[in-house]
Amino acid sequence: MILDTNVWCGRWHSRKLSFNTPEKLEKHLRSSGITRAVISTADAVFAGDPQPWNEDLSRSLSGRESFFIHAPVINPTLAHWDDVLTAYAFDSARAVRLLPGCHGYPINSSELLPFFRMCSRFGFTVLVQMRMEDERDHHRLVQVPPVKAEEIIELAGGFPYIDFLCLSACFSEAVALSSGVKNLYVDMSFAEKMNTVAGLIARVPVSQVVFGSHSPFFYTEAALLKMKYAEVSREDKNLIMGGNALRILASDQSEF
Amino acid sequence: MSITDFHVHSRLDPGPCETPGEMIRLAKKCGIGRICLLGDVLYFGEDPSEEQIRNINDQTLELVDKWPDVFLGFCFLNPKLSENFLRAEAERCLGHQSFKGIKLEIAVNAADPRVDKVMRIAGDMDAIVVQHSWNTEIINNRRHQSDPEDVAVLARRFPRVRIVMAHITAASQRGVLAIAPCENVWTDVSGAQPVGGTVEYAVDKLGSERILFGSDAPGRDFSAQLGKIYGAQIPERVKEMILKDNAQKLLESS
Repeated sequence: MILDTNVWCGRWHSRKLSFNTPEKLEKHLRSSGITRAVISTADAVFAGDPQPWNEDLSRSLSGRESFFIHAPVINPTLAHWDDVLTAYAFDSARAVRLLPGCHGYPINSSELLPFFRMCSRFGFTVLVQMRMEDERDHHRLVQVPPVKAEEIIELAGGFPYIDFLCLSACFSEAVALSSGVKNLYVDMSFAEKMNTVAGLIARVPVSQVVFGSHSPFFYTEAALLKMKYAEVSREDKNLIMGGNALRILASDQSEF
Repeated sequence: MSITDFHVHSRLDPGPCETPGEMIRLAKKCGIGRICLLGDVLYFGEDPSEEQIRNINDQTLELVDKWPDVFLGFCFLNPKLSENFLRAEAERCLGHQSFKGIKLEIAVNAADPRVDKVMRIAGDMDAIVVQHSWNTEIINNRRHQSDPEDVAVLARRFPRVRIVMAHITAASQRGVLAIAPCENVWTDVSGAQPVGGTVEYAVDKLGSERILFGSDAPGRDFSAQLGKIYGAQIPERVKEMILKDNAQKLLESS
């Protein structure tokens, strides 16, 4: 089983995305050997309110629930976040995705505490998108700073029952995030140096590293080859490729 | 025939995974058998002195001597230095049978007239020039960094010198279009994140013969960078050309 924790559909303002519909993306990911994927819509990233785009994606995922796990994009600074969160909880959603950089708030702001309390109550895994693109690739009018690792570490310490999955962290951020905070997890889509995966789990517990490709922004094969050539044990590979993500995302593991 | 990686740097002060022996081991594991070694070009900053240039090239010379079956050398030069020094240094390095060309980094922009003397030397010695490039829109240092458009200016001034513009993924489609009309410019896919779509676009606009595989190791992971080629929606034969044949053909012509 390969569970990809970091995929997108939709459009992006500064580049064409291949496989940008659930149908195309599922076909592509399945042909790459991926068995399940956590998806959000890129259309929601710069929308005034992400919810209409989440709703569009929910509709287009109909019939594809056995492959995709929808992580709706939530902006917790908007007035109706509690209604949205409650609706997704009743809809059996398992995870929500936050983009503090793009939506312009510090994730450890005291104003967001009620939001995280509700996430904790509903048992949501909180996906935190550290960045969408390499900062050097931004359009000059859309320069979004990455989320600060120390803010997430502080927040996670206050909510030990929420699993925070930090997506698209670079290598040094991934190390900082998952060293010493047990409820912080990282994907390896952006982390890169020689022998990436072995280097990462030499520094952080393997139980906190999950597979993510950031497709279709990135070639899916790049993440798959990082794992193929990773100099780690078969047991550790299995944990990263699916076991760890399954533990934090599945309410009922039998459905996987 | 194994894969040729056209863009690898040695380290003067290597970390545990960055020693030449370790890099060769990891490269071979991924099927990479030939490596173009460009030197530790930023070790002394963006404007290295004559002594520092010699220091960097000494290491490349040592490594191609030690691993002649794997490494091919490129002579690192700073166009701001005197023509006498540049020519002497190029002759010192390119006199070695395993040296194939010259590497230019970020001492000056590629369109700067001071690059001309390096290009004349390259032309005289039939050397390939590997020119760093990036999208300077955000990094905002065009006095030193080079956009693909700057590489195109250089290529038009020296149409008989073969140039490899590094890091096409960094400037993506815009970079592809900038160099498309310049038949003397190849590009490598090294560095940057494995952003989807660039390789397909490059094949469409440049044809399949002007694209080379490069990783930018040890700053990058061989495996992830190979994912740009293996993951591209292009024919298998074109992947083979990018990974192997194109580099072989270009290097043999030098």
